[in-house]
Amino acid sequence: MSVKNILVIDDNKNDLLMAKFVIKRLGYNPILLENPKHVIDTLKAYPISLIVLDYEMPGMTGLDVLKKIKKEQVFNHIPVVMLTGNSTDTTVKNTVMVGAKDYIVKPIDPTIFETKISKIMKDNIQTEKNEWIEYEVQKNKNTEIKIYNYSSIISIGELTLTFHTNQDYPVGFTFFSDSKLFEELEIKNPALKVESSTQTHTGFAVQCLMLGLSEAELKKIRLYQKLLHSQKAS
Amino acid sequence: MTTTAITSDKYNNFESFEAKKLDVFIQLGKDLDEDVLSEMLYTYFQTTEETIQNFKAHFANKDFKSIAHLAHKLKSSSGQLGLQKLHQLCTDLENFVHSESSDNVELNVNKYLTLIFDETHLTTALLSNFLKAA
Repeated sequence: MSVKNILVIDDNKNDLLMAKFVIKRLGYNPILLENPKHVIDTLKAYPISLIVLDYEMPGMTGLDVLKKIKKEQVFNHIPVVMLTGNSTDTTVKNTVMVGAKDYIVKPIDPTIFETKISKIMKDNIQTEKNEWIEYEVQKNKNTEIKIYNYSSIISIGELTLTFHTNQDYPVGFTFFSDSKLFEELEIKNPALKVESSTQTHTGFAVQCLMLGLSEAELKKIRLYQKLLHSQKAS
Repeated sequence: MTTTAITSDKYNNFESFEAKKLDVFIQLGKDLDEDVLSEMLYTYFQTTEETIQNFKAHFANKDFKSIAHLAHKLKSSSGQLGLQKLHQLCTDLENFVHSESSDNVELNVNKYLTLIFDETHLTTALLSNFLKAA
């Protein structure tokens, strides 16, 4: 899976540098921005998982930047953590009301910074997992497989899974499926690695490689395929 | 706030340099296999030098709002490196300007800046020595 990017916006070079090192130690990729005016261009250029934003900057305050991000439908889901030189009630209230997830008081304590960033990134991954692709598999009388929400399974092979979705996925992207299909087969959610993503007239057909399946789990899938086949035939 | 309140005696209880604060950067350097401490300190030296020059320019223009912003930045950087006295001086300067006190603003800001320049000079030397020894 590609390394997630964390955008840090601060006009203070020392704070940017400190944030850079802590983010690197956490295993994420820091993207540093001194001038908040370039925030939207930066968000367009890189996929960002979290924004760390200084509250007090000349020209454009952190609150202005936060409002600007929250106005953009494409980016308003990205969690934002504010950096603030003072933790007065007004400051905290302002940031939370506009949609900041949390705040960190300056001077930045690297341990606190690391703990908060780490927690938000983990929560974020869980949210993505819950919200993204929900393989709500339901077998109706005709044994058709229907998937609600975002995608529908086209086929399931021993090692591959192909589904139809309204979203494109980058080749090489790996994610975990929460499909009920796997739950029913008592297979621990396998990691799915995108092999190809082809545009169709209604969306995208995405072919994934199922990783890390044991021989017993493969056997279950073979049996499942056999069952589907026989039900369709009858 | 009165003019007499702004003296170096007021800050005697604050340490100029708390070396322990830099342990975290030394550890970060070990974890990342990078010279984090040097990079942090060189950036600090560079930005502080710029800040001092900007303080002087803004004071000449009586631009106290910009002075408060510079104090805010230096407050954060100095606090991060354990420069307690400098951190407190910057905090007080920022608060003084924001308090919009009409009590000898120029004179008081000048007193704060003098103390800040002296403290910056001292702490830069202390940090340089620490870096050489590290």
